[in-house]
Amino acid sequence: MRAYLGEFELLLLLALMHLGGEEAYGARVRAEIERRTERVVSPGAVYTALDRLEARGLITSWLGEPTPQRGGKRKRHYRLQPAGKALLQRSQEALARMARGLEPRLENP
Amino acid sequence: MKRPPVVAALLLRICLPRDAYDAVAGDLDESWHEGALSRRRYWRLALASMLACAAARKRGTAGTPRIAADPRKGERGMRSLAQDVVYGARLLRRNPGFTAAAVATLALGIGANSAIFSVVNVVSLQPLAYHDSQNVALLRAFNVDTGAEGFALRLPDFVELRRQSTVLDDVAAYAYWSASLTGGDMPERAQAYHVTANTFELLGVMPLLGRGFLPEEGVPGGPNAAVLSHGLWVRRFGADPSVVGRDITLDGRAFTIVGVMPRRFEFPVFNFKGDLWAPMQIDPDAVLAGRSTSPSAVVIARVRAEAGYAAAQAEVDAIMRRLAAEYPDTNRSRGARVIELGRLDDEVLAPALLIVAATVAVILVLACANVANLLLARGTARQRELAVRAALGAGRWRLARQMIVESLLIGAAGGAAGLVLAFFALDALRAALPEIVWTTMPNVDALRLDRATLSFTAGLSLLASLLFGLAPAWSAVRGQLQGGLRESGAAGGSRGNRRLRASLVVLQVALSTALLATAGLLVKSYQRQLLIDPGFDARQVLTMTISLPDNRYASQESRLRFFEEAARRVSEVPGVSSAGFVNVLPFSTYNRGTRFTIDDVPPPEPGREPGAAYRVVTTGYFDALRIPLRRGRLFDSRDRLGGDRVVIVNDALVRRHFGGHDPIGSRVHLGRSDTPESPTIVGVVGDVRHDEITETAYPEIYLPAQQAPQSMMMLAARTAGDPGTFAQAVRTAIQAVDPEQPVYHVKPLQQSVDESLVLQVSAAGMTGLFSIVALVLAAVGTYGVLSYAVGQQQREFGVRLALGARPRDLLALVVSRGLRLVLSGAALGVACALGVTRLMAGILYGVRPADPSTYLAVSAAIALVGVVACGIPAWRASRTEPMAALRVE
Repeated sequence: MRAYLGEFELLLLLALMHLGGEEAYGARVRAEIERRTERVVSPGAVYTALDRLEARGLITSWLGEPTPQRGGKRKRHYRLQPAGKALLQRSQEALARMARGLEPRLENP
Repeated sequence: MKRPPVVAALLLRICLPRDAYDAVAGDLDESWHEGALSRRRYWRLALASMLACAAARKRGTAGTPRIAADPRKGERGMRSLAQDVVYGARLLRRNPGFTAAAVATLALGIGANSAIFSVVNVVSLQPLAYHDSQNVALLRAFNVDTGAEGFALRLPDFVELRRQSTVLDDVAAYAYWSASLTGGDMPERAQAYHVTANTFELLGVMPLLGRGFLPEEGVPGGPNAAVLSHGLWVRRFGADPSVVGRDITLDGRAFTIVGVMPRRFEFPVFNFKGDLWAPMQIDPDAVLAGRSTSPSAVVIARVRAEAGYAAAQAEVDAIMRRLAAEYPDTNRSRGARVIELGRLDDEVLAPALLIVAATVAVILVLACANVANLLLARGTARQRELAVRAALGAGRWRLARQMIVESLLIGAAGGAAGLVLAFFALDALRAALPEIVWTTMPNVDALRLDRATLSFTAGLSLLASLLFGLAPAWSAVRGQLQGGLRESGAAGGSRGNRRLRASLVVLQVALSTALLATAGLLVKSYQRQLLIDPGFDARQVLTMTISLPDNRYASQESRLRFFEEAARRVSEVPGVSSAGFVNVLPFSTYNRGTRFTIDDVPPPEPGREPGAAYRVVTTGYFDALRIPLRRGRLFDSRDRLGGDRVVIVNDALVRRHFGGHDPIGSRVHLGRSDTPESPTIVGVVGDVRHDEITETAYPEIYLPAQQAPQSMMMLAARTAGDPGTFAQAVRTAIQAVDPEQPVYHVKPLQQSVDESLVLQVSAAGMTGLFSIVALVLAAVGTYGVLSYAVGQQQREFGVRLALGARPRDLLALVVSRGLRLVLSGAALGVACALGVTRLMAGILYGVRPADPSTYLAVSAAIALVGVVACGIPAWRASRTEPMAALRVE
C-alpha cells in the first residue's frame, strides 16, 4: 500500500468529509470540488478514483435508491473509513512538513 | 423539462459497465435537471468519463471490478472497444493493398454522392433568401383552354388581383428594364427591373443600407429612386457606404440611390438576376382604364400562411374567371397558376436530378458490394485467427464487433477521402457551369461543401459501413459456429460465404447493366437532339444585344437609322459576311408573341385568335442566320415606314392556317398593331426553333424593322471563323455609330443553343461517366471473386490436371463459372432497366425506353467486360502446375 495520497485523491477525501452522510455521492462530490477549487472533473474520473480508494480500504460505498431526477438510475454513496481518515491526516501532515519554512515565499510569490 | 442528450447517454450505456453507467449517467442527468449543465458540457463530461474509465482499465489501476473491469460486463466496456479500434487500425495498416482498394472504392462512391447531394441541396432543398420564402408565389399566366403557360400576366390583372384577393397578403409585379448605366468611367448595361414599390416588403428582405421604396415613389411623376444589388454596389461603387443619396444616370435620367440590398439577396430568380431596381410608376385606375393596351409584368404574391396554396389558387381562379366573364375581349381564357417561387425549377430539374442521384446511389451500392466482397474474402482467410480468439474466450458478439469496428474504420477513411474527392468535383462543376446558370439560378453561390454536405457525408459513411460490414461480420460469426479450428482453406470458404459472394457479383453486374442502359438511352437521346435542324445555322454567328435609351432615341426614325447604320457597318467588318438585327434571337431566352387574324376568313370570337411568334428584323437577318426562303421574297429597301405594310410568315403558319395553300398576297391582321390596316404576306420562310431544339415548330410572323422600329434589338453577324475573335471589331463598328451606346450579351449563337441543352448534356454526361465507373467496379468485383476462388481451388485444379484434364478444360471451367454469374446479372439488370427506364420516357427524345440497339450494345459491353474479368483468373487456373498445387497444403 502506498503511504500517501495523490492530489486528486486528497481532494476527493476532503470533499467526502465536507459532505458526509446522504450527500456524499458522485454528483455532490463533483460539485463540491468544482465549487471550491474551480476545477472541472468528469463523473467518470471521480468514480474511477473513488473506486481505487475503496479498493485500498479507505472508504466504503453502498448503492442508494433510484430517483426520477436521475432518470431512474441509482446513486452510489461513499463514507470515509478510519484508515482513510488516518491516511488523510498523514498526507496533510507530510504536506505541511514539506511546506514548513516556505510560507512567506508561498504567500508572496 | 428538456431531455438530456440522447446520443451521449446511449454512448455511455454502450461503453460503461452497468454500475458505472448508473452512477456516472445518473450524476450527469441529475446535474442536467438542476440546470447546471449545458448540452455541450454534458457531452464533454460524458466523453471525459468514458475516457477516464477506459484509461483506468487500461492501466489496471482500477480497484473493485465494479466500475472499471467487471469480468462479465467488461467486454462491452470502453477498454475492449478501444482495443478493437487499435487492433483494427493496426490490421488495416498492415494490409495497405487491401486498405487502399477498399478506401479508394468507397471514396469514389461516397464522394460522388456528396457532390451530387450539394447540388440537390442547392437546387431543391435550400430555400430562397426571402423571409418565409415558402409562401412567396409566382402567379404564372396560363391559357385555360389550351393549357399553354406564359410567364407574365397583364398589368390590369395584377391590379385586380391585388385589390380583390383576401388570401394573398400582398401582390407585387416587376418588368425587365435593360437600362444603360452611364456616368463614371464607362457606359455599362445593367440588368435592371421596374418593381412595384411594395416588392421588398413582400419578399420580407431589409436593405443592407438605406431603405426600400416608398409608396410615393411608385406613382406616376414620383421621384426617381433606385436600389442597388450588393454585386453592383461592390463592382461599380467599390462598396462605398456613402453611396446612398448619390445620383446615378440610367438611360440618361438621374436616379437617386436610396438603398443597397444584402449580398445573398437575389431577385428575380429563374430570370436574369437584377443589378438594380427602380419603382414601377403606375396609377392603378389608369391601368384599368387602359385595359386593352396595357403592358404585361411578372406577378409575385405572398400567400397567407394560414390559407395555403390550394386556397390561394381557388381564389385566384375565381377572380380570373370573373374577369374573363366581365371583359371577354381581353381576358377570355386567361388564368393564373399560383406556384411556389422556389419550386419553379423543380419540374424541369427534378427528373434529371433524380436520375443522377439514383445513379450515384447505385455507385455507392456497387462500391459497398466490392468492399463487402473484399472483406468476405479476407474473412475467409482470417477464419483461423478468429477461431483462435474464440478459443481464447472471445464471445461471438465480441468477434462480430471487431469486424464491425474495422468496417467503421474503413467507412470513416472512405468518407474522409470521399469528401476530398467531392471538394474537387464541386470545384470542377462550378468551373463548368455555363454563365446562364450563374445569372439566373438562385443560390448557385452556395454550391460548395457546407455543413449540410458534411453531415450528409458522415451519415452516408456510417450507413455504408453497416452496408458492407454486416455481411462479413455475420459470416465471420456464423463461420465460427460451424468451423471452430477446422482447416477451411481447401473448401474456399464456407458454402454460404461463397454463395453470398456470388450473389454480390450478380447484384453488381445487374446494377451496372441497368446504369449503363440508362446512360446509353440518355446519350442516344442527346445525340438525336444534336442532329435536329433548328431551322437556322448557328455556327460562326456572333450575337449581341443593344438597347437604345428613350431619351437619346425618342423618335422611330432615329432608332431605325441607328440599327440600319449599325447593321451596315458591322457587315463591312472584314470577315463578316452578313449581319442583321432581330427583336428576339432564337435561344436567347426571350420571346415575343402576337395574336392575329387572317382577312377574308371569318374571325374567331374575340379572345380566341390564334397566336404566333412576333419577330421584327432588319434586311440582313435571314441571310445571317441562313433561314431559307420558301416562297415569295425577303424584305428589301422597298419596304419603308409609311409604305405598304408587309410581313413574312413561316412554314408552320402556312401549314396550320392556310392548309398548305399559297398565302402570298393574303393579309393578316396583327393583335399588336395599332393601325387598322392589315399587312400583306410577301414571303414564306423555314421554321425556326426558338426555346428548345425538340419543340414542334410554332407559327411565326416577321415584320420589317423599317415598319415597326424597336428600341431593343439583337444582332446576328455571320463571321468567317471563331465568332468570339470578331467581338471587338463588331463592337468598334457599332461604337462608330454611337460611342455612348453599350452592347451586352456578347456571345456566339452556338453557345446559346448549347446552353439550352445543358440539362441533357449534364444528365447524359454524368450518367455516362458514372455508368463507366459502375462497370469498372463491377468488373473489379467479378475479377476479385473469381481470382480468389481460383486461388482457393489450386488443389482441386491440381487433382483435375493429374487426372488428365487439359489446361483448356480448366480455362473453360472457370470462364463458364464466371460467365454464368455475369450473364445472370446482366439478364437481371436488363429486366430492371426495362422497368426503370420506362419512367424516363418523358425526358427521352427520339429513342424509345426499350430501344433494342441500346440494350444490345449494353449487353455486349457487359459480356465483353465479363469475359475479361473472368479470363484473367481462368488463365491463371489453366497454368496451375499439378505438383505445386498439391504442395499448397
